[in-house]
Amino acid sequence: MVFKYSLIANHRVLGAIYRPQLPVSFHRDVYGFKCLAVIDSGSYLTVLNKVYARKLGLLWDNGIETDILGIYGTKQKCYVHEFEIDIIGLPDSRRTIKAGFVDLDNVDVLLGQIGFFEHYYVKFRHPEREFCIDIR
Amino acid sequence: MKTEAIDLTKILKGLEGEWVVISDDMKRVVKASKNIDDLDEVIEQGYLMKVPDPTLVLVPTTF
Repeated sequence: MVFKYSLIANHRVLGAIYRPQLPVSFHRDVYGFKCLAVIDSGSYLTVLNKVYARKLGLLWDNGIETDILGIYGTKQKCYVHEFEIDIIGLPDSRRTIKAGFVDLDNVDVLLGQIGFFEHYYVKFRHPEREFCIDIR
Repeated sequence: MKTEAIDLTKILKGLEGEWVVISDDMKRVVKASKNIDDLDEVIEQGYLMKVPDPTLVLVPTTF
């Protein structure tokens, strides 16, 4: 399925900045929410800001503890939980994933290798301002 | 053939650092707040997102 990139900024030096933002929903039991998640193949793990944990009925720091290297270049605590992801508009795309919650202001939702790329085929077509996602 | 990207710059202008719910058609911000919990009443009306600072260039770290 083809999705469009999002134009997120018009930078004074670099011009237009586009991001591959994917409409997804996360689910756990009766809890769930929709969000625009950034696809990031450089991230080993799918990570979400800790505030999203409550939307899934979770305590963010009640998961399996691990360290990640944050954008500040310092180690940060990350707590890994298991819940479900669904790509909105892509039939049969719901998968159970492992993903971590972090206490970092500059992290929203990053779809990384574990928790995303292991479940879906991803093809970036940045020059065409589109990317393709398919279930495997 | 190049498709048009979804232009979020206009609807997100002035909301840097805030949490927003963007409508399902991605044409308007349903509600914005510095506290994500303030958005609970409209959370089912669209997509949650934290608005990035458009003046910053994001790159990952490797070490």
